[in-house]
Amino acid sequence: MKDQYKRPIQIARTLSAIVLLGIFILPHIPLTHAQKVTSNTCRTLVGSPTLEPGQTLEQLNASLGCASAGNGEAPAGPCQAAPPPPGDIRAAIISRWGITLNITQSQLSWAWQEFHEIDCTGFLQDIRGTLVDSWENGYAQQFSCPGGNGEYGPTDIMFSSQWNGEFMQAILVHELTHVWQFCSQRGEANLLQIPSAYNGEGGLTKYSRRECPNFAPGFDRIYHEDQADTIALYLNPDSGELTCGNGAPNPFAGGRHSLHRGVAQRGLGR
Amino acid sequence: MINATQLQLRLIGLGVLVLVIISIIILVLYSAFAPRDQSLDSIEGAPTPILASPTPGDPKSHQFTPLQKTTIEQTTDEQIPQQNEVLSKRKVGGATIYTIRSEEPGKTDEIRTKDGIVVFEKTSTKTNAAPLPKIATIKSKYGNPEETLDKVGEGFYMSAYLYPTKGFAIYANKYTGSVYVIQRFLSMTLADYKKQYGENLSPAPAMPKEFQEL
Repeated sequence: MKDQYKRPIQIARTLSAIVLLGIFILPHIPLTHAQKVTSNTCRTLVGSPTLEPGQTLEQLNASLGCASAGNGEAPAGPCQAAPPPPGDIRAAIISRWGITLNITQSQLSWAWQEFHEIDCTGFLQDIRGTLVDSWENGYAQQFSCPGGNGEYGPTDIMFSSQWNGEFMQAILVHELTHVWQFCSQRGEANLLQIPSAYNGEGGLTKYSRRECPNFAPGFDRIYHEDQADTIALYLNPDSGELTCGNGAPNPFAGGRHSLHRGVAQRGLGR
Repeated sequence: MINATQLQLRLIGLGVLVLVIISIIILVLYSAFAPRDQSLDSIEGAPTPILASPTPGDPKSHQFTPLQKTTIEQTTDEQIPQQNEVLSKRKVGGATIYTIRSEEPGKTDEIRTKDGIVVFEKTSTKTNAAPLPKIATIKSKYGNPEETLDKVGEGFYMSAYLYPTKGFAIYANKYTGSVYVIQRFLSMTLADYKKQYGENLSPAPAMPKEFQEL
């Protein structure tokens, strides 16, 4: 080979080596936490997953290494299905999320499932320290923020012992969203996005549209209730409307309420 | 047929092209993988609230948010309708009270004048266009309030931070530290503030009973 060709060929070889090196190194660059979750997230009913012909949602999740509910069902929330509950569910929830639920044993089982299904959103981490107690009343009420002191001392939410199942799961998230909106920076910022969705689509539910005669929130609270229903029903796509709309389908079903969906997705990071 | 010089130029050009592509890839990767504060996603790009250097005790100098519409002791009655959307106007005693459109959905702001000059303005700050001012920033600039009252106004989470001799009062979320309402007025004693504007210090109502079947 002539000497005059050697130098440019050396340059070309060096650059090619850099490119090839980059190709092999790129996949090993560490990702941030949020991107890790997104890149290998378990598919759920939220967001309408794309399935191969003949593939079930559970098969897709199994291929992604997602936890199995053990009952053949995919999780309804955006994260993973819950493993079998431990003997002391209350203590396990405190240990993992720092949230104390002094509720019935059966409610704890539902909460165990729910918390796993919404764990990856960071929602529960934002309200760490929350204390929920229960009463016999057929309603729930918020009294404080974590670390605060309300009518029931450190208790942040009083929750009815009468509720169970999917309904109870959605109401629990609704109430915890009130803690999120009043007590955390991320929840507060998310609340500020609700009015534009409300103006564009109206209230998400009958409750937040003030169509429930017996428990309509005042005007000052319609955005708070709209956000609480938005988060609760986005994270529980199997649940229909709550309160007087109970029985009506989930307002996000069929791709409806895209503005509210956007608020939830931006607030929860997925 | 190309000669050696042409081949050399082409190879150098190819090398430059590859370098440009590598630079673009590095830039894209950096912007994609750089750590971000997710809590700020929703307010990214929004202007930072202005906190001008204070002149303690001079209400004219207090600039807490771009949403403020008047200057205490300077803005006149004539200027108010020119600069604001006045929803209503009424006379109470010797004062004129303007209810004006707020940037916060569902709320109104208020301006009061006396002898033709603004003496009070209440500004709501909760809009989706700006990061909310922080009480910690205000405390660092103005020192501790003369009095702090918890659980006032709209809910258990609201606290009032009173600086009446400096001509302002702040209503903020105790738990997030975010300022929801700013009041600016003529300097006065704490007792006079409570007497004149004390309606904002009423105890917070209980939160609603939810999902109650009646």
